Amino acid sequence: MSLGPSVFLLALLADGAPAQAPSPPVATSEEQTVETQPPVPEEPITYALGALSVPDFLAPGEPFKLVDLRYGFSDTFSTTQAFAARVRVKSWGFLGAEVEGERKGVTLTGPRLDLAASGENGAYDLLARYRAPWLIVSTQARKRAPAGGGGWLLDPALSVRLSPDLELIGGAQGDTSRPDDRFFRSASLGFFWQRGTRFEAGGEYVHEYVSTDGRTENTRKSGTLSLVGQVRALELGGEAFFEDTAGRFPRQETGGSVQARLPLGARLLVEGGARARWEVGLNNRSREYRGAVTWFGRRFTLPRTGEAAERTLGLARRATEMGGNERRVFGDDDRRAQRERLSLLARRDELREDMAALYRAQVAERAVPLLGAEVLDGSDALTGVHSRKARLFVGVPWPPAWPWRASESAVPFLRFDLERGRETSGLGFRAITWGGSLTASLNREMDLVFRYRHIDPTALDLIRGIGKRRTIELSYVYASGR
Amino acid sequence: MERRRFIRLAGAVPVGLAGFLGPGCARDGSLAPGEGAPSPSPSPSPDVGIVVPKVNGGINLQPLRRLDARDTDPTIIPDLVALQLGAVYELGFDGLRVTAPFSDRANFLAAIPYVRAARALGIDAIVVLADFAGLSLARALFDDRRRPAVLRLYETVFGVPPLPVRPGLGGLGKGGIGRIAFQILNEPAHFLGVPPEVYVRELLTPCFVALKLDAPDIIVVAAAEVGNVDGPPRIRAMLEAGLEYVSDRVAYHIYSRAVIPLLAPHIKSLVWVTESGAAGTGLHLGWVRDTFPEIFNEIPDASRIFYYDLFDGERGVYRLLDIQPDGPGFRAVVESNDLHAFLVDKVLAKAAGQALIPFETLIPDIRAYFPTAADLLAYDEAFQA
Repeated sequence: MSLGPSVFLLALLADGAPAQAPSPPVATSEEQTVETQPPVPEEPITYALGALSVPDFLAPGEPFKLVDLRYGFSDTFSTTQAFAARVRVKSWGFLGAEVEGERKGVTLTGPRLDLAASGENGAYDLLARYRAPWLIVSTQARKRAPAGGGGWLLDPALSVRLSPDLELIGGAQGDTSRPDDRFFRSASLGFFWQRGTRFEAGGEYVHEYVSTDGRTENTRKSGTLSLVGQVRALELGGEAFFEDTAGRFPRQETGGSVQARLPLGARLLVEGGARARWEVGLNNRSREYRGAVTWFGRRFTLPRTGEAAERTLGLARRATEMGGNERRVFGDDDRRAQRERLSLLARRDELREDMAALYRAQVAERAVPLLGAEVLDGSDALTGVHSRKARLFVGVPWPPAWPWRASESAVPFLRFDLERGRETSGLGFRAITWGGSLTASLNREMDLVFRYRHIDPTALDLIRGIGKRRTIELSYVYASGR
Repeated sequence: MERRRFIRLAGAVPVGLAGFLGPGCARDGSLAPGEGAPSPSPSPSPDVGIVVPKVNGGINLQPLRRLDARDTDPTIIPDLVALQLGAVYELGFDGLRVTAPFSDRANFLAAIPYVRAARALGIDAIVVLADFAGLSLARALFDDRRRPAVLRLYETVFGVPPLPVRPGLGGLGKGGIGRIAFQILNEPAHFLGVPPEVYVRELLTPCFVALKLDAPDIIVVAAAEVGNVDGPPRIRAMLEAGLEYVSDRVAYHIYSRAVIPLLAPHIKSLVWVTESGAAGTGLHLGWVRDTFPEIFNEIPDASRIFYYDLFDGERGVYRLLDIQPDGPGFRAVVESNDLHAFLVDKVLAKAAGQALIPFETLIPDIRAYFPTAADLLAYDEAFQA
C-alpha cells in the first residue's frame, strides 16, 4: 500500500476527534462574552514556579510594564551576547530594544502603526507598517553596508482585506543601486484565504529581475500555491511552485512539499513530510524527507482543531469587525502578538473576555511532549551534499512523573533533546554533528535553555580552514501573556 | 607500411627505450644535473620526414611512474613515460591533460616529464591542479597565505617553456612548442564538496588573479563538473557566478549524449571539453567518430576535446591502451582496436604518404625532461610552506 492511502486509513482508524475538545459554536459578537464558557481545567494548573493566573491583557503600563525579556549567550569561536527587552507604555503601545553582537535595534508597536529599525556595521533595516480596517500598508527599507555595495532595497507591500476570510496581497521591490540599470526589481500579487479554522490557502505570482555575478540579468516568473487542511483527524499541508527563468540560461523548475500530522489515539502523534525540487527535463535537484513520532503526557490537540482554534476564529472575526484587520493565527507566539495589538485598540474592552477565553483554551490544550524521535534525510544534486539527521527527546512534566503516568494536569517542565547529524559531500567526506539541549520551562512564560553542539567540519569547512568546533548557548526567555 | 609501423609503435611493441633505471636517475625520480643527465636532443635533419600531424584533439593520461599504482617507490620509470608520450605523439594528439597532485610528491614529480616533453613536441599540456585524494591542494588554494607559494611552484615547474625538439612542430606556443594551461581543480562539487558559486568566488577567482599577475601566458582553465546530467546545472551556476570573467577557458566534461544539449553552447571565451569518453571498449569508436562531431556541432564555442583516456588500470572501460610488463621493459597493447585504427587512419591521411618522424628520434632519452634537483627543492619548499 502506498503512503497516501495508508495515511488516510490511519486517519480513519484513529479516534475521529482524538485530541480535540468539543468544538463550541462560534458565537456572534453579542453572544460571545455572555455565552462562551472557558474550559475549566479539572485540576488547578501548577508550574514549577507555582500557579499562573490568566493575565490581564488590557492592563496598562504604569507607565511601563515589562512584557519581554530575553538574554542569550553563544560561544563558538567567539562569544556573542544578545539582550532584548520590551515594555508596554501605558496603553499607547509597546516599545522594545535589542542588542545582538554588533546589531542594535528598536521597535515600536502602536494600535495601528508598527515601526522598527536596526543597524549593524553600516547596514540598516527600517520597517513601517500601518494597519487600517481593510488594508495593511508596509514598507521595508534595507541599506546595504558600504562594503556590500551600498544602496537601498525598498520593499513596499499592500494587503487589501476583501472579506474576513480573504486578502489580496501585492508587493514590489526597488534597488537604488540599479543593478543592470534597473531600479525596479520585482512585483508580486497574491491572495490568502482562510475558511473556518480547518482550511487555509495562499497563492502568489512573482515577476522579478535577478542580477547574476555573470553580469547578466534573468527574468524569473514564479507561482506558488500553498494549502493547509484538516481532514478529520489528519492535518495535511502542502505547497507547489513553478519557476520559469528567462535569460542567458533559461530553465524551468518545479517542486513542492507535503506534510501530514496524524494523532493516533489521544497522546501519540505521527508526522511525515517530503520536499523536492526539480529542473524540468533533469533529475531531482534536491529532496528532503522527514518522519517523526511524539508521545505526549496528556491529550494532544492539533492547532486547527479544538476550542482554541474556534476561539481564534471568533477573536479574529470580531477584531476584524471592529476594524482590527486580523488573520486567524494558530501558534502561541502569533496569538500573543495578536492579543498585544488588540489590547491597544480603542474598543479593546469589548475583546477582553475573548482574549482571556482564547488564552484559557490554549492553556487547556497545552502540549506536553514526553518522548519523541525524528529522522530527516535530504540531498541536493547541485551541491552534491547528502545529509541525514536523527533527533530524540525526553520530557519530564510538572509535577514530575514517568511518561506513562503523566496526567491531564501536567505541564511542560524539563526537556532533553539529542541530535546527531551526518553530512556527506564530495567523494565521501563525512561530517558528524552531535548536539544536545536542556530546556527548563519554569512556567508558561519563562524558559531557560542550555544547548551544546559539537560540529565536525564538512569538506568545504576544511577547505576554508575551519576545523572542529563546539558551540555552547544559554538563553533565558520571559514572554508575558504567552 | 606506415599503418603497421603505428601499430608497432603504439600497439604491442616492446619499448625500445631504456626499460631500466638509467644512470643518474635518482630514487626519488629526479635527474640531478651533473650526474649524466642528457640534454634535450637536437632535432634530426628535417629531411627525414614530417612531425606527426596533430589531427586527433587532446587526450587524458595519468602521470604514470610505476605500472602498479600501489607501488610506493617514487622512482619514475622512463619507459612508462616514453611509452605513453610516444603514443600521444604518434597518434596525432595536439594536447594532453595530466594531473599534478600537490599533496602527492611522487606523482607530482612524475607529471613533470609528461608536461615538459609534450610541450617540447609542440603538444599543449593542461596541468590539472588537483589532488587524487584529500583536500590539501584545495585548502592551499583557498588560503591567502599559502596560495602564492603553491601557484609559484606550479608556474616554476610546469610554466617554464622547454626548447622545441625541432623547428616546425606546429605547436601554438612560442617557437612552435605546446602551450601550458592550468586547470584549477577537477569537478569541485563531485570530488571536494565545493558548491559551484563557492568554487568560482573563493577558489578560482583568487587563483586567476594571481596567475594573470605572475604568468599571463599560462592559460587558466576553469574546473569542469561531472559529465552526467548533474553537471550542466552546476556549470550554469558557475557561469552565473561569473566564471567567464575569471578564466581563459571554460571546461565541460561529457560522458553522456544527453548532457550535450544541456550545456551552454555560447560563452564569452572558448570551451575545452577536458574529458569525454564512453564506458565500454566497443563504444569508443562510435563516441569519437560520431559524438565528438555532435559536441562541436551543438556547442559551437567548443574548440577542442580531450578523449578519456589513454591508459588506466581498468580493463574494458575507457582506456585506449593497456600497458604490460615485457621482460625488463614494458609494452603497449592496443585494447580499443577500432578507435586506435580510426586515429591512425586520420594521421596517415593527413600525412598523405610523407614519412613520419618517430617519437624516439625526436626524444631519444625522455630523462632529459625528468625533474631536476631544483624541482625537488621547489616542491619541498612550497609543500612545507
